[in-house]
Amino acid sequence: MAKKQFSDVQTFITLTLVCVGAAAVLALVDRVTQKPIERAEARKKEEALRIVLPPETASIETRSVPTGGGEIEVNLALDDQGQTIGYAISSSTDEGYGGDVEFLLGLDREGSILTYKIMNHKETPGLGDNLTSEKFKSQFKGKNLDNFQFKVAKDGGDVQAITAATISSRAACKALEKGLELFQEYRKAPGGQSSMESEK
Amino acid sequence: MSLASEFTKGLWNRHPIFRLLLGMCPALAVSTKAVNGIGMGACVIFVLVGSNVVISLFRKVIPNQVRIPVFIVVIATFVTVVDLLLHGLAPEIHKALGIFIPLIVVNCIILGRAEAFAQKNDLLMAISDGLGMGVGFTWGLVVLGSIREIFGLGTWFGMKVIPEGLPTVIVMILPAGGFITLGFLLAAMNRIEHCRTEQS
Repeated sequence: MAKKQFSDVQTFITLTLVCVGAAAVLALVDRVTQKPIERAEARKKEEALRIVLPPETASIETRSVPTGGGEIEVNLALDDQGQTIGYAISSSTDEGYGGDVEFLLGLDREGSILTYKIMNHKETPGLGDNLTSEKFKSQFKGKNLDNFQFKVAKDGGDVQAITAATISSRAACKALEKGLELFQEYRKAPGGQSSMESEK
Repeated sequence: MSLASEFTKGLWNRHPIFRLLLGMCPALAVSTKAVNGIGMGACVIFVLVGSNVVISLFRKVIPNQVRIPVFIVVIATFVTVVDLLLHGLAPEIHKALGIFIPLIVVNCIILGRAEAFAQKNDLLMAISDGLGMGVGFTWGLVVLGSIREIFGLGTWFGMKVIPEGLPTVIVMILPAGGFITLGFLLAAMNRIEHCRTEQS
């Protein structure tokens, strides 16, 4: 079908108007959704923390301490008496099969692993994403740097790798080990003491 | 062509995946599980109908020389709006569809329908075309995803369908499996078409 002819100026004006219109729509939607998105993100983080921290957690306190390698942020789980009963710390590695893998580690009072949650990953569906499976996770329960070799069995460690996903399993070992090391640094750092009563 | 036939052509005769071979990148990337097909399909239906509506409404004032940039701006705007709205208002759905939403921008079905159909037809026709193509794309993804999930993971929509102990074919959920499945489905479709034309 024959289209109406437009002059160059009309063409220019139309395209400009379309872009301005699109920008206006986007700005409007962004403004409207900004608050809800922030709330949704905060809730997501809170939910993730609840999953990895002990079930008795009454409130969560976020603390960051300066160390040689920069700030370390640790989330403290407090029970209803205000006692620290666990910690959550983020750790990540770029050695996954699909790139970055971000972990949130839940630790008990002594600093052994309770469980972890993967916040972000691009591992192969059906293979590497089994990092999120209970079967793989459960082997880290109660483990820390002193009683566990964070290496897959193939490399002489204690970790049962996921079948056909050794690279993803290695990445998990790296990230978990790094998380525990960060936690040790946090404990050594000033203000990084284990519980509230030590501050009193 | 009637409204109804504009809808039904997308379901079989001009099926976007199996007949037009459009949108291959997202189709192969997300069809590792049947449920992904539903999610991606729903997003595509929304964006496709939305962009068809806008482009059909403004078709008389869009100069021919700049139509492609205008289409792209409209489509990208729609995708971003969907992304922001879902993120803020329905975080659960956003979490499930998260990675698929930006993929819609690179889905050439949407640009293809804008160029081939919406810019030449009135509003109702454009809506009908968008719905038909969207639903066609969805069932195509679900079939692709079902085959790959059943053979690759032994599950269908997350339910176990292949008894424990029988081996699964891991390659089916890897990219290569997507191409293999698509090839067989195309062959099957051509065969059915061939038989139908011979009969008539």
